[in-house]
Amino acid sequence: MNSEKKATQFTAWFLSRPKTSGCIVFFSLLALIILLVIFRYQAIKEAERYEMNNVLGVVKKNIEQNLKNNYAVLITLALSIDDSGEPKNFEKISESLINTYKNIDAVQLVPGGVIKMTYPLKGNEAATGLDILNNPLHRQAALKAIKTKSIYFSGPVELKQGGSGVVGRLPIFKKGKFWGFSAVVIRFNTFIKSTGIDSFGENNYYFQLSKINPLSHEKEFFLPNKSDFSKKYYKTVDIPEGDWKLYIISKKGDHFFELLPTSIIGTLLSLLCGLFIYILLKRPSELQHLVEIQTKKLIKNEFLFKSIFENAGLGIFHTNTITGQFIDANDVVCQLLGYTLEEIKEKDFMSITHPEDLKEDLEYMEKLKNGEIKHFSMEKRYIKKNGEFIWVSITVSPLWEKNETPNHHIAIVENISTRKANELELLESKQKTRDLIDSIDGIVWEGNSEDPGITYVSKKSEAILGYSPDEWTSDDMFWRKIIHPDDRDWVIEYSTNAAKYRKPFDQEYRMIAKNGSVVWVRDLVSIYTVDENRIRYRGILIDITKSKEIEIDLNNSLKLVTEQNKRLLNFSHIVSHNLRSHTSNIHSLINLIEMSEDETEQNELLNLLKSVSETLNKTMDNLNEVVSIQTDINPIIEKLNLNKYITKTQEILHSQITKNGVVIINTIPDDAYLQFNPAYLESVLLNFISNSIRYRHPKRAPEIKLSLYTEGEYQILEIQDNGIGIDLKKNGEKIFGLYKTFTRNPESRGIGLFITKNQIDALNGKIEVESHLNEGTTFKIYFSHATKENLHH
Amino acid sequence: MPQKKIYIIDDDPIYKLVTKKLIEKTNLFSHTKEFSNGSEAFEYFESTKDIPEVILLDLEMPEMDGWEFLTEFCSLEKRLHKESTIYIASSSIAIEDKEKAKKYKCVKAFLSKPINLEKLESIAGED
Repeated sequence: MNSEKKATQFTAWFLSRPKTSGCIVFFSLLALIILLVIFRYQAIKEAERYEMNNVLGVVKKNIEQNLKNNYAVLITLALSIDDSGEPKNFEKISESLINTYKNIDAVQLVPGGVIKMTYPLKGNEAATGLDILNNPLHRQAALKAIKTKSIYFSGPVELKQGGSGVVGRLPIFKKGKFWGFSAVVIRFNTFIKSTGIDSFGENNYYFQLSKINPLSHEKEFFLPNKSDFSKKYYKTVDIPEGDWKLYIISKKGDHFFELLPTSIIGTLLSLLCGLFIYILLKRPSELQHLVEIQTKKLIKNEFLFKSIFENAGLGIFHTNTITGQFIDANDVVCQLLGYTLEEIKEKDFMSITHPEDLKEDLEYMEKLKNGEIKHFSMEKRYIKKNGEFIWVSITVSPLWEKNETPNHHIAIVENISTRKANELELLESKQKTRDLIDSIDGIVWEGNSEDPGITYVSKKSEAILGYSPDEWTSDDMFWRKIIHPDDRDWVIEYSTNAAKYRKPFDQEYRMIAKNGSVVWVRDLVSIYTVDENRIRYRGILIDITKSKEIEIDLNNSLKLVTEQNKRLLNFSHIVSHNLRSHTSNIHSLINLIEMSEDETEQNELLNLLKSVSETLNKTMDNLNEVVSIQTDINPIIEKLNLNKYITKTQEILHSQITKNGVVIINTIPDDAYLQFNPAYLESVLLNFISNSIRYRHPKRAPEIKLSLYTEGEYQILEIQDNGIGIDLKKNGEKIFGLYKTFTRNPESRGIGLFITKNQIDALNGKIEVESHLNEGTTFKIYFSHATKENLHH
Repeated sequence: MPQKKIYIIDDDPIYKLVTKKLIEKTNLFSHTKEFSNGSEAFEYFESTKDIPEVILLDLEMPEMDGWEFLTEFCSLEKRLHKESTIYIASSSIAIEDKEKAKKYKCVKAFLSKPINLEKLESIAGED
C-alpha cells in the first residue's frame, strides 16, 4: 500500500512535470548513445588494429619469404664459386635461378666489391664494373653485410642499369677471406609486388616503406602517397634485412567522424524521445490539471452538499432505492423522528411510514423506478421512535441518471404537522360552518354569475325539497327545472334581470319537490363581488309553504271578506236606494194628496200610493232572498248530476223555449257530477238560460251551447249564446249588481245575475263573462272541487 | 214668470209622475219633459239641441246611468255653448256620490229625493 502510494506519487511527480521529464529522458538517452558510440568507436578501432596487424604480419611474412628465397639464390650463387674463387657455370645456374624465382630480376657476382658478372646481362650492362665498396651509395650497405657476414639488402636505390631496385648482397668468404658478394637485383616494382601489399587494403589502408638514406641520413619514403601520416593511425614493422620500416596506414582518418551520423541521429532520436515524452506527459498533465480543478470543485460541492445536508432546515434522507434502507440522514430527520443516526441507518422507509400512507408511497416509488415520473412529492405520516405519528411532506428525487439502474435516492422531508393541524382545525371549522349552514332551516346555496349552475347547496335541500346537493350541482339547469311551471318564466326573467343589474333578489315562488308536492319558497339572494368581472350569488331558499298557505288562505279570506263587504255595501246601497226611492215616492205622494183638493185626483194618487206599496213589498221580498243567500253560510253540498238539473231547467222554461224556437246544444256527458247546493244549481241554471233567452238577438234563432270541462281545481260550466251581447267595457263592473239592467227590455229585472253570483260566490266558485255586442255572450261558471270543510275561510 | 223648462231623467215612473204633478201645481216652470234613462235623454238632447234650464237627473238607471249621462252631456253642453243646470236627484244619501258629483262642471247641485216644493222653488229661484 505504502510502496504503491509512493509509486503513484513518483509517477505523479513525473506526470506533473512534462518538461523536466522530457529533459531527463533526453539526457538519459543521449548519455546512452554517447556510451554506445564510444564503445562502437573502440570496437572499430580494435578491429582495425587487429586487421592492420594481420595485414602487416602477412606482408612481413611475404617479405621475409622473399628474402629467404633471395637468400637461397645468393647461397646457390655463392656455392657456384669454387675454392679457387672462380665461378663455375654462372650462366647456367643463374638462368635456372631466375627461372625458378620469378621475383628476381637479375643475379650478380661481385668479387672484391666490383660487379663482374651479371645474369642476364642484357639490360644490366651498365652495372658491370661498379665498385660498390667505393660507391657511397652502396658502401655502407656492403660494409654492413661484410660486418654481419649475412645477407643485407640495400636500396631501393637508383640502379646503374636504370630504374630503382633493391639489391641483396651476401658476402662470400673463401677460406676465411672475403671474396666478394653474390647479389640479387630485384627491381623495386617486383619487390613491392612480391610483398603482396597491392592486394591489401585498397580501401582501408595503404602502405609505406621507409629507410634512412645512407648519404643524407634522412628518412626516405619509397612508396607512393608520401603524405604525412603521423596524424593518422598506423602500424609499423621493422625489416632488419634491409633496415626498412614498413608502415600500414589507415586511410580513414578519425573514426569519430565515421560515428558522427550515428551520434547525430542518436542525439536527434533522444531529442525526439524527450519531446515525445514531454508532449505525452503534457496531455495527462493538462488532464491532471483539469482533474485537480474538478476535484477541487467536487470537494467544494461535496462541502456544499454536506453543509446543505447537515444544516438545511429540512430533513434529508439518503436512501437505497432497491432495499429502501436509509444510507444517511441529517440531524433534522433524527430530531424529527427521535432516532439516532445509527438507529436510522438500521431502518428502511417502509418501516417508519404510516401503514395507511405506505401504499401510495410505494406506488410512487414504483413509478419513479420505472422512469414514469422524474420525482414526486407527497404528504404522509412517519412513525416516530416514541410511536407517535408526525405529518411530513416528502419530495423524492432519484440519484440515478436516465439510463442507469435505480440505486439511490434523496428524500427531502418537511415537518408539516403544524400545517396539518391547522388544516384539520380549518376543516373542523369548515365542517362546523357547514354543519351550521346545514342546520339553517333553509336551503343555502351559492352560484356563479356566468353559468346558470349552482356550485353549492346545503343538505337541507333533502329535507325541504327532497333533492340531494349532488342533484343540484350535477345539472346546471336543475334550479330552473324544479321551479313550478306557473312561476318558472317570471322567476327566471326576474332573476336574470337581477343578475344583469346586480340587484339583490328576494322573491317568493313555488318549486316542485322530488315527491311532486308544491313547495313555496322565499329566495333571498345576495350578490358578492369576487372581482371586477365576476360576481357570485349566495342565497337561501326558505320553505314558506305553511306561511304561504296561511297567507293565501288569509288573502282568500280577505278577498272573501272584501267581496262580502263589497256585496254588503252594495247591498246596503241597494237597500238604501230602493227603499229610499220608495219612501221618497210615498212621501211625495202623501204631500200631493195633502195638497190636492180634487177628490178624483186624490183617488188617483192613492192608487199610485198603493202601487208604490206593492213594489216596496216586492223589493223587500227580493232583498230577503238576497239576505237569505248571504246569511246561509253553510249551504248543503251534494253530488249533483248536472244534466238532470239542466233537463229540469229546460222543463221549467219549456214554453219560452218553444215560443222563441231556442236550440239548446248540450255536450255535457250524462255522468258529469258537480259538488253544489241543489237549490242554488237550479237557480243558477234557470237564471243563465233564461237570461240567454231573454237577451236573444231579434234577427237570429237563439242558440245556447252548454259544455263542461275541468281546469285546475275547477269544473267549468260554459253557457254560450248567440244573443245581443253585453258591452263589457261599459257594463262589466255592473253586470252582477242588483237592479242593474243594461237594456230597455221590459223583462229586465236586474236581480237574476246578482243572486246567481251570490250563490256561486257562497260556494267558492266564480263567474267569468266574455261578450261581444251583437255576437253573443259566454258565461263561464267555475264550480270548485273544494270540499265542504274548505269552504269557510 | 214661468219661463224655465224642467226635464226629468229617472227610471222610476211613480217618481216621475209625482214630480210632474208637483211641478204642475207649483207653476214654477214653463215646460216639463221626462226620460226613463240616460241614453234616452241624451239621444233627445243630441238630436234636438233642446237643452232646458233645469234637469233633474237620477243616478241609478238601467242602460245608461246618471254618471255616464253626465260625462256625455257635459261635453255636449260644452259643444253647444249652452248652459244647463243639472240637479242630481238621487235616493242615494252616500257621501261618495255627492263628492263624485262635484267633479262634473255641469252639475249645479246634489239633491236627495224626495223632491218637495221647497226644493223646486229654490231651483226655480236660482238664475
